[in-house]
Amino acid sequence: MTRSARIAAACFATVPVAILGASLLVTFAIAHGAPSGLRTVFRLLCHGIATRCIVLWGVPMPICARCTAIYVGLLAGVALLAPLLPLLTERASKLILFIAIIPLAIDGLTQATGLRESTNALRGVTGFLAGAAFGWWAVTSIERSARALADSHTTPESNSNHAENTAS
Amino acid sequence: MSDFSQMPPPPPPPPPGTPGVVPKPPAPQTPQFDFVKCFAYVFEDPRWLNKVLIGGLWYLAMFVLIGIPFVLGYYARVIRNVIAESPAPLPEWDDLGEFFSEGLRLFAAGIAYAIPMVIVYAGLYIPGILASASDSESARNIGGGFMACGMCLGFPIALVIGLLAPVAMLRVVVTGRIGAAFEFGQIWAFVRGNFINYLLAIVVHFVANFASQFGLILCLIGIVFTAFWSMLVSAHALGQAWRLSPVK
Repeated sequence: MTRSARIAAACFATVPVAILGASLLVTFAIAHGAPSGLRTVFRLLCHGIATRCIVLWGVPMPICARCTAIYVGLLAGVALLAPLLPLLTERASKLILFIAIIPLAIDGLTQATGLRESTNALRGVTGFLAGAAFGWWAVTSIERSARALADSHTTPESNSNHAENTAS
Repeated sequence: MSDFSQMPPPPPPPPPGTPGVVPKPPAPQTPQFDFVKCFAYVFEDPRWLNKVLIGGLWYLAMFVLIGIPFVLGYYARVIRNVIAESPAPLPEWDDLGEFFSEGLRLFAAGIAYAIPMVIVYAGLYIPGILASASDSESARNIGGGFMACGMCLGFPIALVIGLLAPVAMLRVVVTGRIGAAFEFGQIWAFVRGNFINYLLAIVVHFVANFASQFGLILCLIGIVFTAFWSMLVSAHALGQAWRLSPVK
């Protein structure tokens, strides 16, 4: 794994850890008497509609079940699947990402258009799949780019190839 | 000498548009600010979706601070590529160490530029808010006065910083030195000598910022991708403004 991919994986893992950690902390605080206005901090990231959130300690979390699952999936995709980077080409990981996002898109769109109401379990599963695939793809993509750059630095004849790749 | 004096005069020049006569080449056009290119160039890159999606993830990481240097580093690289008239200004997300160190320089300069506003807020607004919340009426009046002073001072300071800070960032990007952000004479000379293009760049920045809010439609979180796109648009506009400037 290249240095850039390691940096990216570490930073991308920090995002869900921080957001989920803060979300858990706020839920815990509200459950123990803190004002529920603390939830509004998360409005930039998620609508936080209480009926669509996972309930912990008798209090709905400030981000919805889908977002929670996306962040958990992102963490899993970056931390657990990243070591499997060399197994796939970027094209394959992009295809997996596309396939993994389809259930989330169908679930979200049919709910948004009022055709049906989803459940937290479904939001969780579709969100997790999409988050994991996105995290995996992002690190894979950075790994490939960084490797191409490293190759272009080491082999002079591949300089032109890297330039072509970058330009195309 | 007499031979010269008896030579016939040269024939008159043919009228314009005469067939067989090569017309004079038109005068080279001075390059102009390309308003449309700022918005379109991202989508001209064959790998734009990859770059914007990963950029959006980095933008999300800005919420937890860690992404700030990386996004700023990428922004700086885009500006430099635009200035160099690179055919593909969007770099790959491949050299994160370089992005980080460059972004850190920009971040430091940005923090320095924010200091006057922090002073105004900390010195006037916050005491004003605290005093306004007290039970004593005179304290509330004093608090209101503090807040009014803060507003009177804060607005012009914010305006001046808003005008100069983008040029300061440009200078850091171009020179690679943080000190270049504080060469106010040169910054002002750039603004004066290139006012129209700079104004256009600022307009592009605001239009892109406004357009990026439509990302909220994508389950709110879509804002990180559209906001990243708007940063790229601003970078192109500023890069163009620098490239076209007679004063640098």
